[in-house]
Amino acid sequence: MATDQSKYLELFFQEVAELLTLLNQRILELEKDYSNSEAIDEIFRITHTIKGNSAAMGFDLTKTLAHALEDVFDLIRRDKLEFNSEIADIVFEGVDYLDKIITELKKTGNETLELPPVTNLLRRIANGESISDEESVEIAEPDNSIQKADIEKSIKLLESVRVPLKKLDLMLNFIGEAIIDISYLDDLNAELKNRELKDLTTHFQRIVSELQYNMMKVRLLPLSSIMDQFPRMVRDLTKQEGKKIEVEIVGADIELDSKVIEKLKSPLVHIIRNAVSHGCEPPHHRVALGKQETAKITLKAERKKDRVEISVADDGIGINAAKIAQKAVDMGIVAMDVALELIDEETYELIFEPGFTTAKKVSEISGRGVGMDAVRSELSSIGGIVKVKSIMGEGTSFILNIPLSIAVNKVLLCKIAGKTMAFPSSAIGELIRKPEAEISYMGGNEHLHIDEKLVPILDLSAILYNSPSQKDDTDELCFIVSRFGSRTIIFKVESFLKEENIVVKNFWIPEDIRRVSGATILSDGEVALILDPNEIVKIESLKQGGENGQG
Amino acid sequence: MGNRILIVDDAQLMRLMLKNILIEVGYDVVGEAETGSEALIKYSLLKPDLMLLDIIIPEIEGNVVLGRILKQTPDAKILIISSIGQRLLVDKALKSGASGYIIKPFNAEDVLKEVRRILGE
Repeated sequence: MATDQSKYLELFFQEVAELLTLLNQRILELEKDYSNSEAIDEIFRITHTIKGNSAAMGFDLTKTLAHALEDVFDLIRRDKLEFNSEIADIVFEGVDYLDKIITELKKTGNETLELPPVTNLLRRIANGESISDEESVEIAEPDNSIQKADIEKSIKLLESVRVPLKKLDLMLNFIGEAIIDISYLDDLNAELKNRELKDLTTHFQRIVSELQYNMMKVRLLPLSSIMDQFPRMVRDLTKQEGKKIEVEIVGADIELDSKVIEKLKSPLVHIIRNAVSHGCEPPHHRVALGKQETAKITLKAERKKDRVEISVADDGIGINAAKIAQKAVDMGIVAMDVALELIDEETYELIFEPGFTTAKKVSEISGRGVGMDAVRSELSSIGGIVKVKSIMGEGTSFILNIPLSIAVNKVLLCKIAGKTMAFPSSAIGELIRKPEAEISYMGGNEHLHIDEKLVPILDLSAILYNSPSQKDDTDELCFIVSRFGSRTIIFKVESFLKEENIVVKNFWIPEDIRRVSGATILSDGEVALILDPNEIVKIESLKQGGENGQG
Repeated sequence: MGNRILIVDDAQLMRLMLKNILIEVGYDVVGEAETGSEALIKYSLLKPDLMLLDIIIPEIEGNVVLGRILKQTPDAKILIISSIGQRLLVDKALKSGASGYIIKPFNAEDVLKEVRRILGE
């Protein structure tokens, strides 16, 4: 029955990987709102598609398990069965097994695992039987074998090819050699002084440079390729520990080299597990402390000049420096008199010492204590560092800094002082156009009425080039509204051009040029500077002595 | 005796398999669609001789798409693609005027047999 399926294998694995990620996301959404009929329909369709695809490929185990899941959701979407948390747990286990079977398939070419017991549970649910609590299976721990399958996920375009990294590196090597050859050509021409040859060489150089950057861009993956699974992982961990934790992810669309992404996964997983087991308090504890019952873990990724900063912050119990210091002394990591001299920040550093642990027992999920030394060494293999900030009773942040040789970011191109410049989209709250008449003056500065406040306007043309923004033909002025924490700032530009994903070309920027964070080459060959809105605001505030943002 | 075919299925793998089966024997796959709304748009743009329609698709249900197309083009030829277990939906489609159906997993012969029959070859 199965015709030659080998040519379809790659597409099958690519599609099923995307479907499984979506599946996890939708089930998580459904768990938050049992009435979400869109999620129910989509979950049904996804399991249906997985069943169909695996049947077509002759993968019977996958087909059977997917079918069992599909039947359950068919009943739910026809209102013949109600979704509840027991079903959620069983369904998640089914999905995890699907993942395992497929990973095995990918590795060995066979469905060597057996049909898991959860299949029968699913079938029984679909038959209308109720499952008692004892029978609900234990939450399967997210396997690290899921890691590879996800990292290999490529961009979500419909038309794409999968290219082994080795091939890309080979091509990049060739390009590297070509660049060297061209520069020899240039040297030779310095003697020949041939005009035409010079023009040709310059053009050639530009093309090969573009080729190089575009190829390096191909190696990039968004952070979301590893971060997407974290909400699910946290959900499973918190269920095990009886805690309530919410995960927020910001900035995961930042793209990094795939090798870097691969190296980040394990440290981030470690830090998050730590936040879950040691950082966040159980719900009753939090309520007693006057906090919200549900703890929050925020993952934030931000590009800063030539590096990416990723932070994992919890609003939990914070680090008890005294306890850490004591433990370190007990374990012989540091002498008592040295420990007494340490300030809090230095004390936190002790957790990165090999063998350090404050766990009273070997916790099932976090293993032997913290393992933070492993985190540090994984990060240093990509040139990254990690720092800890904490306030007792309020929470802890782990801040990772990873250097980049190249980064891709979304920016808004605008005209400032007649030049095209790039404004990072991550700093844009909204874009507005207002007629000149709506500008009010306060203290000699321009302001606009926004968010029920009078917000100061920073004229970027004036700030960067010392000449005020020119008006375009229309009567309206263009403003970018940014929010930094509780402050709202408005930047005036001459016009909005378009939003683009750009590759940031790294060159050395002197430390004292703070308002610009990099540069990029636009499609017409022109260079556009990339602004650093944060720094611009800081510098202006210092100048004006903190008048900004008053209502 | 036309040979212009539109394939509607939200699984890329399925579309590719069907496309390969069809073009190998000389049919012309003039378009593909992933959702019900896309199917409606592409059908009216491309006016294919035959549309292969997955009964389970996002945005607009397969049967609804079938109904709308048949209303506009009563002699439209539509071959339903279905998985096992969608008997009710397939019956409904046939009653509404679908030209035939194939069940996944299918093989090349079964698909081509139905396609040839429907296109009256």
